[in-house]
Amino acid sequence: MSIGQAVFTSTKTGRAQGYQIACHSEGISSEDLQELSVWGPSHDSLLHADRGAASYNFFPLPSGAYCVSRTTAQGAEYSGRGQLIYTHNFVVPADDLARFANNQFAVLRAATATGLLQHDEQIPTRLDPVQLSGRALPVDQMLLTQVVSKLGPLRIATLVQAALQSESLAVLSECKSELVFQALVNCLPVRVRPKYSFSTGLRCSPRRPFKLLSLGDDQAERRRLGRQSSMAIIDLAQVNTSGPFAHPEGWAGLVAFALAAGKSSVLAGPESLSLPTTTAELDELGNELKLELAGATYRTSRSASKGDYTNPHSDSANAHVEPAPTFSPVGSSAPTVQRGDAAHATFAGTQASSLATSHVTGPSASLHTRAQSPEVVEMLEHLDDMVYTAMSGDTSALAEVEVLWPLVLDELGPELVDESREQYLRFALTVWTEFLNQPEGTTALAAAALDVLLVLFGGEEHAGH
Amino acid sequence: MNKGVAVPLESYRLAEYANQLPCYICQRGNTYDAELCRHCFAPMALAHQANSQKILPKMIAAIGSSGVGKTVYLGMLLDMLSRQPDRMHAVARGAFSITLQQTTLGSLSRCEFPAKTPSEPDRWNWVHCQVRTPQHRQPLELIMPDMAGEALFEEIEHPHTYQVIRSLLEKCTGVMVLIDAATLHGGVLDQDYASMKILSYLSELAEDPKKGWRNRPIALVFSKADQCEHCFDDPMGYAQKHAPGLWQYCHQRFNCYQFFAAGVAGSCAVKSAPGRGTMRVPLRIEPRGIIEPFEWLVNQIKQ
Repeated sequence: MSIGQAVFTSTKTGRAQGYQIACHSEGISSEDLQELSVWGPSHDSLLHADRGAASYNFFPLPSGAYCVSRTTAQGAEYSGRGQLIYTHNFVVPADDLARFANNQFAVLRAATATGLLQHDEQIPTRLDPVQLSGRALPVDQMLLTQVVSKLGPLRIATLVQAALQSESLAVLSECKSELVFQALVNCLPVRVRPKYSFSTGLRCSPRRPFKLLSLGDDQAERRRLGRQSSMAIIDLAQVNTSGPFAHPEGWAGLVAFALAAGKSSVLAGPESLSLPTTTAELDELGNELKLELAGATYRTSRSASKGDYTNPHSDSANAHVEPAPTFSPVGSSAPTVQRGDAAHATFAGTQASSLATSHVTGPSASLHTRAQSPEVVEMLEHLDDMVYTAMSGDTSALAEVEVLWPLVLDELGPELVDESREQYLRFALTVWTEFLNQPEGTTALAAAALDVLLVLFGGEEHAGH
Repeated sequence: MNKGVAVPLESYRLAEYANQLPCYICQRGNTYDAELCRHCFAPMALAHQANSQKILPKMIAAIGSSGVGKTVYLGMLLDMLSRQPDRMHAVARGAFSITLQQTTLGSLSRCEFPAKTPSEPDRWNWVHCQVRTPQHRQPLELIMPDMAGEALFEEIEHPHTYQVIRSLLEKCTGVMVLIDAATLHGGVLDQDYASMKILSYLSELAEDPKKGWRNRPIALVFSKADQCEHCFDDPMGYAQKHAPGLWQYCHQRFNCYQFFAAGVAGSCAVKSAPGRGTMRVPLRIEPRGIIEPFEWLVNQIKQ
């Protein structure tokens, strides 16, 4: 099926002047055109009015098709009163959207690649329906890796939870809103995605009842939105492990788990997912998938520890284990934890001198002992971050270690893992020594260090949960 | 001895939501703490203010196509009425009622015309004011919105698109239709057709022969008349010559109408700004004929 186009902007035509549907392709129904006019953004609708600022929008149309659009500020309005707000709308049939895994941003990328969103000085007088070729993967794992590295799994999971449970949601984030919303879309099951209309950069207006919006810098606007009973506001910077969203559950819990474990492909959801799906049903599905995922991770680590790892024909050797994604610890740009210092006196004479001080600078000593591929280095660095963060008392980091450790064990083998484990043990002993010397204020740290050691040394029974 | 204390039940606070407060424009129910009507997006402050008064406010609309000068006219009108008590005096009710004149005069003082009015009704400026005239003892409570021209024509082309416009125009006791005299003077008849569309919409909106628009006062104001001076001399003659369709339509369909000419900027120039293209700027502010249409309308309403 072909995709219709329509331009909504301010112009002077023989019929009217001002903001209107300036031109459109054939085949778009009058009801859809009317809806495009209703949702069309007019003067001063963009949150950020810099030249080149853009908003990506998505909403349903009466015909059953969907509108995927881009709004930009392009030069001066014809009457000389402010900037021209230009919206290029694509009327996408449901089947075409499904071909792109119901990912609106994939549609826009395809349109951009085809040159349909090129900036024209003149408003077009004629538009033709287009065919957008290509498809999209159900989950853009590279994008999720990128966003997870900036925001962390917990914030993304919290965003998903807020989106699922709110009638409408305004999102405040230091990250670019397009990136945040792309991550959100990729964390929703494919079949559920069209249910969530969004705009990454338009001002809130009752005439445009988007379910998801980005919040701008205007404090008066924020206060006004806060007074609306149907609008929830989430500030992603305030989401941390000690707040009320520290333990997401349901589908959001699956998101957190899958992102931490690098198993984000599960977020596409089953193809058999029936519509309409309530939030409760989605949460139930999320819990089931999370259990399955946790079990699969456990089984993978068990197979590896049984010694089949070197057999190229074994299932465990051939099992596809996604490398752990690179992302920063939740809620902080760098862990504020004291790194491993010099070996405890008890162990000082029992190890090579090169290992005794190598952990002072941070990454595990095993990184320096042999050349590693960048993925392995990345994985070990991430494991270091998680272990030390968990030993500082971060419960979400501990949860990540519980998931990550079996994967690392499976990926790198027992020899390299043992070296890292030794480093962690040394650090934990430092923490315990401090606790023994000064129990006040260090009890929690000592307990956290012990919890981490239980995961690392707990044996097969404790791996994977 | 224990002292008795009356403590309101927390759940009683929810009971207040059971009482719906009707919007003053569309009369449909809203919660008592709603900021905007959820149906027509008019401010609920108007309903709260109306409820607190003995005299119910009447509504007047200033309408016209995009760029005709509604914002400048209304802002200048309110500013003039607030400063000259002898002829006719207007007092704003509510801080939101002052925003329009503040924005307009602020822009004009910077040698700019005000920014374009957005199409979204929740971003329009509304004015609720009390108007006193020497001839009448009782003051007149008025509500006047500054609407976007595109929204009006969208409603005309596709009725019920903007519920606030439809409801407002159904209830208005009078209307000022602004027509761009400068465009007409250039021989372009767009404004003629546009104003005919507006009047046609009004006449079909309320067809009651007694209460309909046939008998309600309509002030037809040629805006930007400073660019065609002879419009001030004989606005009716100007209409007959430059907007024959409009003149004829009024003559046939309405019983109470009058033509006026108004101008705010004494003269204009064209300025080129980087990133903003060319724009007209006022060189000096010289309001003429601003109060007359409004004064006529108020007198007609009072009769």
